[in-house]
Amino acid sequence: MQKGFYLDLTRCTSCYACVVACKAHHASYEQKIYWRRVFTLEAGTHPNVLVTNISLSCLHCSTPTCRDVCPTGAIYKRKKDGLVIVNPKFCIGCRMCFLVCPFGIPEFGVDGKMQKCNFCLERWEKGLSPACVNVCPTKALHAGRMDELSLVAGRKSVYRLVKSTDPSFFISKSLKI
Amino acid sequence: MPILKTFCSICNPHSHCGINAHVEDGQLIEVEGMPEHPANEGTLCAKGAASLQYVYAKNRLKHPMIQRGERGSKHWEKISWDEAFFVITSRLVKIRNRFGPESVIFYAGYPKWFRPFLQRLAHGFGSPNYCTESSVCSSSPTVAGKVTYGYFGRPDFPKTRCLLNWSTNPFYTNATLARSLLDLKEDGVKFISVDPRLSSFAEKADLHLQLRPGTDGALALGMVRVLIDENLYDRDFVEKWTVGFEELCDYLKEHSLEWAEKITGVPKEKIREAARLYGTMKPAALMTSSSSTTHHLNGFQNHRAILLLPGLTGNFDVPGGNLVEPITYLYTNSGAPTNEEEIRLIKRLKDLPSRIGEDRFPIWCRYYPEAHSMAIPFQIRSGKPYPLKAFIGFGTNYRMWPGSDFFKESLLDLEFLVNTDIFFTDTCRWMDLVLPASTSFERSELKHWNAKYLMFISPVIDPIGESRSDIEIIFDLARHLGLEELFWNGDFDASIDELMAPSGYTAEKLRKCIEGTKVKTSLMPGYRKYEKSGFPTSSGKMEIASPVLKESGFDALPIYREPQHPSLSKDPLQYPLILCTGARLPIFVHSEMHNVPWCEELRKDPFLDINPLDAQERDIMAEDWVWLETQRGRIQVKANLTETVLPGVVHIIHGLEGADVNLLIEPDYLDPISGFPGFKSLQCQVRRAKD
Repeated sequence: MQKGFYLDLTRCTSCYACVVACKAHHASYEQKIYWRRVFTLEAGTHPNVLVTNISLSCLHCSTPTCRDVCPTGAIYKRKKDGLVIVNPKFCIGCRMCFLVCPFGIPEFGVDGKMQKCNFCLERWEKGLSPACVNVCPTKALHAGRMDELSLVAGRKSVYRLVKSTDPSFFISKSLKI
Repeated sequence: MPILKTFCSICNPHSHCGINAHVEDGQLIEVEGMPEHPANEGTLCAKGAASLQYVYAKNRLKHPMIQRGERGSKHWEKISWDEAFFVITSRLVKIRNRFGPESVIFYAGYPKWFRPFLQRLAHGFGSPNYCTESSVCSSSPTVAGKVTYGYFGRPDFPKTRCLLNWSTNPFYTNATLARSLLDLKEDGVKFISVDPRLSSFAEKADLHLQLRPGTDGALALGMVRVLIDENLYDRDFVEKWTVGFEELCDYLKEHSLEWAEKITGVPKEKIREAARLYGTMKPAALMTSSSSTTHHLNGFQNHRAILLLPGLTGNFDVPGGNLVEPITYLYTNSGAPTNEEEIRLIKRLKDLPSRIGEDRFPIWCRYYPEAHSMAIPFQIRSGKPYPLKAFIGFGTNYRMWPGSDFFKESLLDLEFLVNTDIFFTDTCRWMDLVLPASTSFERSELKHWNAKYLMFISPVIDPIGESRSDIEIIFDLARHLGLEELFWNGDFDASIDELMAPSGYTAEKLRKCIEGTKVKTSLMPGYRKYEKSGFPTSSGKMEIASPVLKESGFDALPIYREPQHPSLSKDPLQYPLILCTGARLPIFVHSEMHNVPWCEELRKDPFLDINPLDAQERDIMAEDWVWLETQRGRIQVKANLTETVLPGVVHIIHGLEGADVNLLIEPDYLDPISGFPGFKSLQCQVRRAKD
């Protein structure tokens, strides 16, 4: 079953805890190299401004174009959980993956090889959530199987309505970013 | 790999997070939140997550060092602890013999954990001049509460239905609160945010009042006007328990909602909506910042105006409102009473010589048992009422003072300067002697949490270099000064036994609870305590009009006044923008973490937040270098164009070494009542720097 992340935009505050925890856990000392970033997006002008906080890492796509264009097969998708992993041994640093990734995820440090989020595999195998999810002070970031995450997200969208006057009524709403 | 329990004490005492420290061969390998800790439940903020680089930072002070050349030169020499204590005590005793003990200043910056013991040392030495960074943080709101109600209460989050957050961003300053606040929001609690910026909290609020910085008083009075006009105030409470309500009504007759709109820039409809929401959604709680509202020349009165709201709406000391709870230890309430005050104040302040600032800020000094740090440079220069000769600092940063250059030069006039710090900071460079302190990972420390929790940690790694815990340093200093009996003959655990005696905990018992312990029989102070014993003010009531202020020649009512200061330009075109400093970033606490790459790399440049409209007028593009100018000087900074700030207002963080905004502020730009600097409301201009 495909694994991935779920970010609850109503709880993300752009606090950067996930960014730092990611670097600390992966012992990444190279400056300006990030497997996870935080974006604070603004729309509109004063006094009608909308701010959106987004924490973003590799999205472990179902059809990863980075893998498709990788000339050496260094990027692969794991069968059992769909995670997209890069094997640095085979990476030649051609940056094709960077060109095609719609989210600008691939990073290149001094060794010239592509690096990115590996879902904290070694933690996951011990039954622990990724460092970014574990640290999140608002519990905005979740990780797990996509079907389970979609249930968590789905439950959340009807939560408030149930809380108010307990109506016998469901609504669905598209989430605008 | 063993997982050891400790906690992070980088930020303010209201947070602090339990830590699982992974240690291998005496080295800290990884730092995570402690899942079983009720404050952080396994989470951390960006600062705590960077603990590894904090502990092993390149600029850790590793040895006591003495300056052999001129101050500010690089002629530092390592010395032994014994030698350091010998130098310090012989200098201090000489100075005391010649100029009296009051000529020695004992100062505490960050962290705060050793403060009671430093105050004890100062008093033991005979000096009334124990002072702290609280002279610019938390003390003015505290005194405002004491002047108005005799005490004040924290928001009772779990039971509230409406949270009025006045100019604080708990997501960045008290990360341990973040989860429960967002849970409240999801449970339907209404959030009102008063903030000159569209902060990450304001962005999630139901109502955001984006006011012109420093006009908080006018906004609060506007809300009070609505409460009175629309009969939304608690008549019973007002009749029985307040003085000065009539005077307030008279003042408000001449100060309409339109007036509040004009001063604050907040549309009157929004002010009305906020007042109605806060006045009718009961119980409603007020959450205030420990500094931002008081960093204004009218800040003390502004804050008092805000504090009227809980009383007038019947939300004072009720469930879900603002609950008065005793502080048990170091600004927090764990429910386990302590002897903190007995340990701090071993001499009555009136038996000691007058404190620094007592002449200048008598109201503040009357209600706050410390000397006032902001008055230090003026007394150094004037020598009045008595000369100052030495400064013994712990975690000092001279850039905290408005006119930081003025303060530094004043310090350099003293005969003897010592600073204890974890890192060799910019301030350390100017000292005669520096002492290395350890982090919470390397020391024993007792901590009380508002979550009714206690932890008494033991070191999880050996101290870096020869660094020692601040309290050990204080105990040793005491021993060398012949005060060992006052300091439990050097036995730290014995001091904890005495501290915790009222709640029956001992150091030994606490140390055994490695992951901390829930306070079982916590103090339950009850509600509406004033009904039994009245308010602890001179009238026994909530003093809307304060006789204490009136006697000292200040306005009795918390009225709004624009800043008055000789440095303010009369020509509005010269400095047309408002400069607001000190808003927090999630990755720093003041100047802390500037030396930690994982945090520092996220904000390398000194960014000035400016609205695109103001930028456009000045031909400034995103990330252009610009000059930020006030009448006192200018610094070069980078423009961060953002719609989250108001047109006409620019914001910058404080404490940056390369772009110290406090250089732009007059050292006496201070609130006359509290002595707090007007950090949130300065006149400035921004110009594009030539390429």
